[in-house]
Amino acid sequence: MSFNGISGILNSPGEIPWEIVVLFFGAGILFTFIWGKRTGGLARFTTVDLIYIGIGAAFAVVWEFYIGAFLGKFIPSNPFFGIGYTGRLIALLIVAGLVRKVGVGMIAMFIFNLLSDLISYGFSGEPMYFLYEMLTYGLMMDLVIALAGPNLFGVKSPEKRTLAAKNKTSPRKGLEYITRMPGEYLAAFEGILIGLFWVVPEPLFYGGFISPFLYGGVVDWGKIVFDMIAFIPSAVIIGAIGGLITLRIVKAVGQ
Amino acid sequence: MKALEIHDLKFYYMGREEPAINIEHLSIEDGETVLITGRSGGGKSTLVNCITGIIPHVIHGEFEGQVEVYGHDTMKTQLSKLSTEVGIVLQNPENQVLNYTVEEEVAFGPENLCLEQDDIFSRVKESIETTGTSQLVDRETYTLSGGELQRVAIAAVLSMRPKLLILDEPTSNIDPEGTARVFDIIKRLKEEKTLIVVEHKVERVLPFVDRIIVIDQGKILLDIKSSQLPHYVEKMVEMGIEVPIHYIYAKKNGIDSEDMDTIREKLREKNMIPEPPRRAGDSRSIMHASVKVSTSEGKELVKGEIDLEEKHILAIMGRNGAGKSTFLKGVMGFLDMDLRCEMEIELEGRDISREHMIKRGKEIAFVPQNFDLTLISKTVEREVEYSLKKRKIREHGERVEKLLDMFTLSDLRYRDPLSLSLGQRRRVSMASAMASGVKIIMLDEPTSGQDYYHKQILGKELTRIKEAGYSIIIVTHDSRFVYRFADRVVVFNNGRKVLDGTPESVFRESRKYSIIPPSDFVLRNDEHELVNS
Amino acid sequence: MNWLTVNIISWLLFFFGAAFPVLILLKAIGLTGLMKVTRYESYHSFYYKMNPAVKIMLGIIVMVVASVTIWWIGAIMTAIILASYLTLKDGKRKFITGLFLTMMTIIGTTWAFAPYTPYVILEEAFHTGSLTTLWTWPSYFTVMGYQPALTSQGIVYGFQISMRFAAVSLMSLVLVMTSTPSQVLRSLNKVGIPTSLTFSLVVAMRTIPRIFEYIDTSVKIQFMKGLGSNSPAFLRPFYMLSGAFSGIVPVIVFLVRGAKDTAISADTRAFRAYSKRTYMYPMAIGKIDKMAVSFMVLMILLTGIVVMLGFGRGIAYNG
Repeated sequence: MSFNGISGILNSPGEIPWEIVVLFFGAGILFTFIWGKRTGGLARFTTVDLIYIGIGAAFAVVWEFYIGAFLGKFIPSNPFFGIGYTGRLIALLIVAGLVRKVGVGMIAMFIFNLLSDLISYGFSGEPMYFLYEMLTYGLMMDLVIALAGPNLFGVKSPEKRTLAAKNKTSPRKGLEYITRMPGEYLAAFEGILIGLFWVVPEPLFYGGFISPFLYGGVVDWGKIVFDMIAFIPSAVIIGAIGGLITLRIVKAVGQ
Repeated sequence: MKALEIHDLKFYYMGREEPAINIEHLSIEDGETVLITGRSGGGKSTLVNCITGIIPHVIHGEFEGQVEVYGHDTMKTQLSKLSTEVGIVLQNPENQVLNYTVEEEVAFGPENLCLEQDDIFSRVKESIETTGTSQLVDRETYTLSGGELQRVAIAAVLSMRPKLLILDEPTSNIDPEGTARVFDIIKRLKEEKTLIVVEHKVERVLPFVDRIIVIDQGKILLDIKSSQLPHYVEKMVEMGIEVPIHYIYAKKNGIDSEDMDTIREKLREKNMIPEPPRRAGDSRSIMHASVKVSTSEGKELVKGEIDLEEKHILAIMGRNGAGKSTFLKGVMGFLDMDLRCEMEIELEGRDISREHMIKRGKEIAFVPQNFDLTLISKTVEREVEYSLKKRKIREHGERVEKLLDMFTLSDLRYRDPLSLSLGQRRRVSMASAMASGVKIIMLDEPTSGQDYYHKQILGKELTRIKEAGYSIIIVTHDSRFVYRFADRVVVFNNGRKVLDGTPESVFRESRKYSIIPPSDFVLRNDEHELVNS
Repeated sequence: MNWLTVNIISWLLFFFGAAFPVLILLKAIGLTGLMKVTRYESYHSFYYKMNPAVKIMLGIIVMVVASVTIWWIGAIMTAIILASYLTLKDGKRKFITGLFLTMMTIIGTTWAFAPYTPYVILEEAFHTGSLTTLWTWPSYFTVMGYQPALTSQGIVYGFQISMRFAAVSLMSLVLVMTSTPSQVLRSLNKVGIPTSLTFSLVVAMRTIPRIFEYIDTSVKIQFMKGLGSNSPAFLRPFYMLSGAFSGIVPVIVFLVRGAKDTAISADTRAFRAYSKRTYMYPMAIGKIDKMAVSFMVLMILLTGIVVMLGFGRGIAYNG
């Protein structure tokens, strides 16, 4: 069967079968819907949460269209480091750290997309990108939030021993630490975990499906695997830095 | 009917053992205007949040007791219902205004209440008329000045038609003209609503409040009729509250009057008029700056000059938009590229007009109003040594120690500057700005949003720095602070310098430029004489 | 040509693609100029009277049509939409800006596809077994996903792909230039996006200019404190960037500290009291909107006919 000459695109060699993509998106939407219904959906997010998401989105836009655009002139597109990735990951980590509720990843991703689309992309490729980014990057972030529980990024952990000794701070009265592991380690670890999760969607979904589906690209699994592996070092570094920045911000504002 | 009734209220923030507020009983009658004052951190905002229902509906913690607003128990009533009974205007209008245009901001509340279109229109019209903001209706909110923004914030709350209106330090971030207009609105509203005004400027609100409540450490320390204030002056001063200076002298000298002229007369008779604050005498000029800034189309924005003397505090005053900030930006080389600027800046005889801000910063330090933005390092110590390291200055350890000591930061050296208290953060920002051996320190509105107690501390700090050999420029709207701590004052109006002299000479004429002389000054100088001048 | 020359020219070409579109724009209009030209101004012509939701729909239709038809239909739409810029306020200036933006889209997109598109696709698209080589890249360029050489077919292919983006970019700019952000948000609410989400969007839109202002202050203060004081002046843009990085945490902390007041301000004005809101100016569907919708239906029908006539996606797909 073919429509409009696109028949080859859904079954070009090596392409992720469209059934799997549809199944993934379908399951993702269903999961979001059920989870939302069970937990109270958007109503569970307080006004302050929504403002934090707005601030994170503003930061992501400033990064993507100004700082990133400037840097992009000097750093060519390459498989080792992504400027857009860096900004979005850090912005989303900060928002997640401030809100600490499952769902924030997907909502923030939706807002980021809406804002960038309103400003610049003219809804090109939508709603594909909304679904794709919410249900990959956003969902992965939410999975880590669900796994980490209330101690996300070690906000309820003690300081590293050396730091605590230097600062001579005693824990706040009535504040019980959830883990003994210092917050800095947890923040870096969870940041790295999210960073690693985020390595997957772009090469896999974009290279394996969106590119051939929308733009007639050729699927090269060697390149997909190479892109994933090549990105890991920077994902680890940026994830760790992002986690630590988040912990610092959350502690500074006493959230 | 009672507007507010509180019984056995206690509220504990999460993880705290002491209650932030602890009030056995408080009631406010319908139509009363009440001033709530007290030091920062004493519990005023917590009380206000309990009245609006923000506690316990939005801010969670341990809540005990009962708060009723016009018969509605705040615990049991939905926030949306409460919002039509009680409204609140906050300190910083930038944070509370959230819509794109003024009209949308005012309509935001009624739209949330799902009112009919006609009803929304009439509420918006009414609120805009009350606050005198009709000429701003189509403006984007981000283009407004602080004073305009605060009036829009008041309009936005009035459109909810609350019976009780709370104004939480509504003028602490705006210029004298904006302050006067906000107070005019409050005077007008006094006839229509029950008002609670949380304010440090006791002197300014005293003429129209019926009652004064002082809160500290979460408790009501004083609850008096405003006419009783003269009897409680000493107690209020002890509690760190700014009271009109003539009340203090009247009390000290056994004068039974509240009228400034009478008190001054009696003090003169007794030869008890206090000496004015000591000003630094003439010294050598350390900086002469002449700045002319115009737009690329040729419209002149600022044309003025200042002379800063060594070991002096020079205050720059004027309305918002008078050109103070543009002038300072010119001095620091901060101006936007699309502005035309002609300047002559001579620092100790050396022309620095063509130098980049990196070089100017070697001798001039700047602490902006939002000083938090300057705290980029992870520890206090690193923040203070930042410029020494960047400028590769050796033996910096000693200098850092001296500064940490000077600003009582030694115990905090390993702490993250961003997690310190407001006062501590300002001190870190000042210490860091001064580290590379500057001679001049410029502070943009350091008194904004500060209570009397913290302003006194700041004034003393600046005096100490001055005595240590530095010269200081401050931009401020606070006449009382200027009168007490500045050696000279410059007033800008419409981009031009219009007054320059000692506080004594400047306050004689400053009313023309919306700068109201403080009671400290008026007590020592005849009002009649001022009017004639 | 020797090894060094090949490398230098290749890297120049590499950067040319990445930087040239931005340079055109900045040289011709300037960033402030662009912001001034593209912001909303009130006026009376038809775009301004149209419901933003209809404008968004129009954008989507243009996108769909451009992506399912042959490239020259996209080119015609681009020309028509660009011409319609003349009906906007200060139309001539906006037309010139639109023209520059279109050039930018074309160069940017062409360059994003020309060196990367596999030969097999090009051969299929152009029904040819031999491609015309214009430039041979150093072999290590393949690591970055480049094909061994740049071909004229690659450039033509890239240009044709760009016609899928040019029209929709221009259309989305019409939305920004002819509706206030609040009108756009109201229509988003109207099409079912919850108030909570549009609230976050409003916050974001108000926060963007503040972030610039605050980062600017932070960077300037760092310069005053000696950032870059021991380096030559031409390196200052890099120090500015490093200062901007350092300023991110304090700027976010500063904004987050104000967030509680913003929330109180919204919550005490009945925000989210009900699942819906009413509006002072509800978004109505007027005569022009109805005409626009009819036009869109016509466009879809015409597209169907065009595709059936064999002018569907004319490249890459119809091998």
